[in-house]
Amino acid sequence: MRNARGYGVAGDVRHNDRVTASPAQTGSPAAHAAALWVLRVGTALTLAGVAAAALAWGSPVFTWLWLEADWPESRAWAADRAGAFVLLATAPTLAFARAWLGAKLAAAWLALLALAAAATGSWYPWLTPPAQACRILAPLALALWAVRGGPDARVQVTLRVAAALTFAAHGVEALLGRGLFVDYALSVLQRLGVGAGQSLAETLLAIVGVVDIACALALLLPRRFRAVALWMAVWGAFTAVLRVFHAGSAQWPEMLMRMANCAVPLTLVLLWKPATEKR
Amino acid sequence: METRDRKTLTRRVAPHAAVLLLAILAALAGALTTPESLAADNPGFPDAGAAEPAGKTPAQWRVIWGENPSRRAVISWSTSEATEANTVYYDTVPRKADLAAYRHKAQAGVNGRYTSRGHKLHYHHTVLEELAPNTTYFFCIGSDGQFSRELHFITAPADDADVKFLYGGDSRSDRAGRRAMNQRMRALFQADPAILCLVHGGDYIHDGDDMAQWSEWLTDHELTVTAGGRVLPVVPARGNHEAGDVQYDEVWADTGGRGKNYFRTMLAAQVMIVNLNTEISAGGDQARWLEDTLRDAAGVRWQIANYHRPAWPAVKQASAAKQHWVPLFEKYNLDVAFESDGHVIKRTVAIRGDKADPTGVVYIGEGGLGVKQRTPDPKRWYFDGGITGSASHLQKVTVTRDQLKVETILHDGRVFDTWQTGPRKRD
Ligand SMILES: [Fe+2]
Repeated sequence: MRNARGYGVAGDVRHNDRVTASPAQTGSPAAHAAALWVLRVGTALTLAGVAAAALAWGSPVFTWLWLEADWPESRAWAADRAGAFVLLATAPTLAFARAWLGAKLAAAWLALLALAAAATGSWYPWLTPPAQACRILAPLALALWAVRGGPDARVQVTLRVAAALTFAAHGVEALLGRGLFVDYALSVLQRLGVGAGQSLAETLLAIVGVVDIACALALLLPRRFRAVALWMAVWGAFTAVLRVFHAGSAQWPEMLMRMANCAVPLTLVLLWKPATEKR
Repeated sequence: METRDRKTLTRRVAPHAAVLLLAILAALAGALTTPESLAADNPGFPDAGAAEPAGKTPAQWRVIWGENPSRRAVISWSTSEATEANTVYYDTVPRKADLAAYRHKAQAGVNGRYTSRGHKLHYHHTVLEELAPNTTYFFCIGSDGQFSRELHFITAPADDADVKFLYGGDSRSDRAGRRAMNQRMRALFQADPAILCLVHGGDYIHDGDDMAQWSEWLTDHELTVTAGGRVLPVVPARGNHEAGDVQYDEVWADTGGRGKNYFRTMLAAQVMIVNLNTEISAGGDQARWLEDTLRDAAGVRWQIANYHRPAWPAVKQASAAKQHWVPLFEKYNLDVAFESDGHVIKRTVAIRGDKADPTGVVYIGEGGLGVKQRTPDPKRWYFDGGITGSASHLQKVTVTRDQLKVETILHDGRVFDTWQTGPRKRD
């Protein structure tokens, strides 16, 4: 019975008919398999991006250990690099459902990074952990998917909450007029050939903020708004690519680490594909 | 049956054991390949400080410079309690705090309580205008019948004079280090009266909305006052640790406009500093203002920039300054840009068009006024021909008609690096 829909991700970890019978599921086995791979690849790219950024520029964990916890620089640096290497090592393990411990380890380090960023950051630091919810919860959703034997209700709630938190936090940042976002808006307007002044960019940003928050709220409603998830996936990809588009190719780790912001809602889009075939 | 159970268990556990082993090996590989740290020169600084404000006694006095320091200065101070009458008495000759003898007095036009839930402290800002250039002003501060001792400062020259100033940033997370650096500043200031002011590159304290930390900073700033009572004026720039915090403007009297905080400072007729804010949009109004300012100043011999997050960092990643301001610096041939934030010492090679070019712009600084110093990444291409280091430091800048010289001076007074350049041709 289990795996009848072809998840096959958990191997024989647990027989759980409830999982496959869950009303949370729709979609064809092919769509579910695609969803799983989207989430795996998106998460792996995110891990690679976070690791690359830490190795190139140092991460908030380094800053926290060194400046707040008063570790010697060499030890804080070693811990930071150890974490980055663990992310790189766990990225390929995401392909193996039975080795879901790798996904959990990655999620734990990413959560630590977000907390350290909040502790050492400066501009509305409490927005950082929710803004990074996608990258933290994506590997957790993968682990859960493996353990539960499929994308059951719990997996989907995790994905929904992840995307909603990330979009809501970015929406709030946009409404607060974050300087970097204003520059992105200006950059986009200029490339569109619109004579862009800062006030126009700020107006655009406010609209983006409201849309982000509306999407986040819509995703938390019981009803599935597939179009909303699709928009979020497109927007997540666009804003990730914008990092490189705007500030140059040296920013590639910044782009990669945001791939989860696209992969998480895209996974929902695929999972919510209406089933066309009969079981 | 037992064998089957064991087999199932093995099948379940084996992948995790493999992952765990892989993670441990990866962590070891990461940790063991850590490049050698400079074990950064972070001496345990001895502690020495002034007293926190109490009652209505004026404390934490400071002189703030903005656009035109030859004619205008803001004298600011704090009181622990709220006060009604807040006055600066001033004159061009010393009056030994005999209030009746001072020829001028000015009321503090801006008074209020610093935004804080827990910390009770009040600010007072008095604008002194129509000052005479290159002139010593002696002043005494009074709040509700409590007075400071007589202090003084010297206004900037308005003609084509030689000037000197100090530059530094990141005084945020090591209070003893900050005090030691303030004492170093005082020693330099005392030894060389031609020094006009401190240009601060931002990140004064760790939490820009924490008034207790600001209060410590302001109290420590008193350590820069010379034995003779000369106050070192501050030209402030906003750092990421006070990015969105209203307290920054309460401390620095809205210099450069509340929340905007970008402005130019004419230290002399031929010496311009553009102070920028890396914590707001770099590309919008600010870039336009920068371009206008640099274009209009084509006739000014020396052009210097000051901002917090670096375009050419020695440890972290480049800020938006690289994309939005560097092209303007290159277009209008800026002489030197001072950057902070990295907690290292750096001087880049001259850069133009993303490569080394003797006609390009040199970037100096990275912040060492009281924060632990870290190990820089000297392998970045723009340090080939430049320098990096790791020790608490500041820059002493000497500007004459034919030379601009930047000395990087360490906490113990040693000169770590000297760089100089001649005037550029601009038209
Ligand atoms: Fe900083």
